[in-house]
Amino acid sequence: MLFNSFTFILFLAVILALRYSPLTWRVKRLWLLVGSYGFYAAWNPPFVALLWVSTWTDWIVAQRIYRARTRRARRVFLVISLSINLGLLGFFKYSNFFLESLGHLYAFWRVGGSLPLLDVVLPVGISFYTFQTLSYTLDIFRGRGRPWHSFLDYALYVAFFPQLVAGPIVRAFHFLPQCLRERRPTGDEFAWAMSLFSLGLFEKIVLADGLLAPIVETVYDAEGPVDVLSAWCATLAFSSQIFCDFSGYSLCAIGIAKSLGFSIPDNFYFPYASIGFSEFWRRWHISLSTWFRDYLFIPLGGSRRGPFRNTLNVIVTMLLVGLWHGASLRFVLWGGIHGFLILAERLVKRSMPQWDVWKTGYGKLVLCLITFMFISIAWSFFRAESLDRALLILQNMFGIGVGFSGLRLKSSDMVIAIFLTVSIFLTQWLMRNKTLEWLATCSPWWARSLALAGILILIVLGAGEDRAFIYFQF
Amino acid sequence: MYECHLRTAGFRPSVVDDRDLWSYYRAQVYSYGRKTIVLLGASRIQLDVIPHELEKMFPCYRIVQLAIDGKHPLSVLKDLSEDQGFRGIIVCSITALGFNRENWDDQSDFVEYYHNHFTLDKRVNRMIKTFIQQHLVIADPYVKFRKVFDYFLRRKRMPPPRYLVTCADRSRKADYSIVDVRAERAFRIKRIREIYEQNPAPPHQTWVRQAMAVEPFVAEIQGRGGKVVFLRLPSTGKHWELDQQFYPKDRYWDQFAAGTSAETIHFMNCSTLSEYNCPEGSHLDSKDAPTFTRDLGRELRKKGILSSCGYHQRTQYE
Repeated sequence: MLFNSFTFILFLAVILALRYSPLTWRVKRLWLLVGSYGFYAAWNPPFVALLWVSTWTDWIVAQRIYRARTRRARRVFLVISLSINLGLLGFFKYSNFFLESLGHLYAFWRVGGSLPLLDVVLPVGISFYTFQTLSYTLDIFRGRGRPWHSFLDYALYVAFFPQLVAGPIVRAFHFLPQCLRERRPTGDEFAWAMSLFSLGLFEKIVLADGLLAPIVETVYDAEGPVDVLSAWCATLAFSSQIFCDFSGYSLCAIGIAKSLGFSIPDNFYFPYASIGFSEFWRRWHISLSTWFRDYLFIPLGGSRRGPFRNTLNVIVTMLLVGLWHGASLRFVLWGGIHGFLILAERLVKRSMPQWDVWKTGYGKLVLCLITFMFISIAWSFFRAESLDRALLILQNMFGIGVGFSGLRLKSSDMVIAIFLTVSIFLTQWLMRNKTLEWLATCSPWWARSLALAGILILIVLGAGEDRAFIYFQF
Repeated sequence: MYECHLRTAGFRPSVVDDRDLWSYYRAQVYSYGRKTIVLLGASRIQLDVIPHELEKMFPCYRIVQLAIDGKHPLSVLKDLSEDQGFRGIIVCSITALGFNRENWDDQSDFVEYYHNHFTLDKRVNRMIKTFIQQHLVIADPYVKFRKVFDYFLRRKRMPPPRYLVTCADRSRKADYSIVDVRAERAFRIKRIREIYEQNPAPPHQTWVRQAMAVEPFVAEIQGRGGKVVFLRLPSTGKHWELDQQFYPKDRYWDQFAAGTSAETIHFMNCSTLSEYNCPEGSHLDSKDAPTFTRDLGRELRKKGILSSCGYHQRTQYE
């Protein structure tokens, strides 16, 4: 069920009616759980069973880990959890990727023909809820929490519909304590929650789907070369599209959770205002980057074990971040590029002279712009349907092979792509150290009302074709 | 305000005809059992035949419009033949091109979507969307800001109302009084000529053999108590001349009609159906569609495919 569908609005109305009814808190949580399973089943009912497997596994394993007396036993239980969760993820998401890769290897060594691929449907959101349940087990393994007393709360944590299929990846001990007692949002909080939901829908429906997606599709889904300007416009448009799409989803999720009286963490903090690639990953898909930082990068030794190990840890982590996004070499390459950029940034910081110019507002803006351009170029690998297409568009961006010939976007598309990208970049730059709450608090009531009315009108009149959220495929 | 402006400018609400809407109706082919009439085909049957008019004539039947614009219909016929739950009547609008083997899978993406992706939430979403789109002009993507902006940049004026609107039952109404019919006709003729020239007609014996390959589908449906009618809807003027030039009726359609166990209706064989004029050569104007639908209903009754449901209805329409 998509947030940008009428079915979801109907579903949300029912859930909110139950949430604000005079039922007991336990019954309300139960309904939230049933509703969340219904939300997931609307896509493909049999796959709710996978969600149950993941939920049960970590619920039981976490208790066993906590009760185990020896470190060895704790490790055995952890391996069980990792095997089941990552095994399911691996089977559903990566089996064909590995079979294909093996096939290529066989072909390279001339061992035999290609391997047959499996007819596997990727369960929506599997990467998200697998990481959520794993974080619970890992936190208990590392002694950061005790097994939760209520299975109902735990099941709700895993299946909570606002963040079930595309995050943010919520940590158990952030969510579970909120289940202890009912917290009814005040009128102002509810209004703010609905404003966030509307803003998220605006980003998704109007900006990402209505304006940017058609431009990106014209170039990236076509065949053959593209002229220089069009290649740049489409790539910049995709930078804006993926931000609006995913940040729009996260805002919707946060708004819906707030309207139900729950808080889930921010997932984006004006990422295109980052100065440097390390900062970008502290602002982009925050729940995923912190997950990898806490459960992979730091356990691998982080940056405490010398420069070589640190380099290796960064590369391994970023390659896996790339692989998490999709079972394709393109995503791995995209992660690898980010790993390389993070390392290059450190090198540059160490070796470049500390000129004062970089500390001024304009200097920072230039650095921010450079960061944004590199990030946008890297998105080509993320968006293109194949590695060949990504490489061709990259060549075209730098005028290799085509120059000003090849497929050309309409001038109105170029104007929209450039205007929106510049607007999004500048907005994020101006909001770099601020928050949406701050903006709302500083603005007079009539400005807030006008903005909200404008957003709602644009949602009605500016919608494009319905598209699923990009991150649903991960 | 925008809604009022559009309505005074002559815009009418139009439903977006997508795979969800098609699947919504595909799921309804069981509701009336043998009294379900499923319309298959492409744009012609969507524009020429009005389900509501047929239902008025035959009130005990339920009409389901499953035609898909711009695509030949045999993959849906195959799908319905394989669906053991379907026992109704199929009225399949088809041209000689539609029987060519390479066109059989034209509509298969819709069939695949219905079977594998049309979930309950999409069904509910489509119901709500249809309701909104059939009542509000501003729900039509044609008048969304982006489209209007693009049109304005190109032509330096607001877009005019569309001559074609889609109804909630998936029928379409064409108002040729607001388009340049001559240009539209020239465009259609050019297009159909290109299609015929790029896909030369096979020898008629080969074509008949290919066309007769639909017999297992027909037999399967008729074996369950259903009926199948292949229908050739009108094309006129230069368009019909081209149809005749590349697929002469006597060597193609008539040969198939003689061999198939299904009923066939060719507009040229019916005095009432051949009297209509297609303004751009291929489709009827919405003013003619109701009378055409009633004439077609009479033909279907004459062939024994549909039966009258009561005295009152019979007297009203005969």
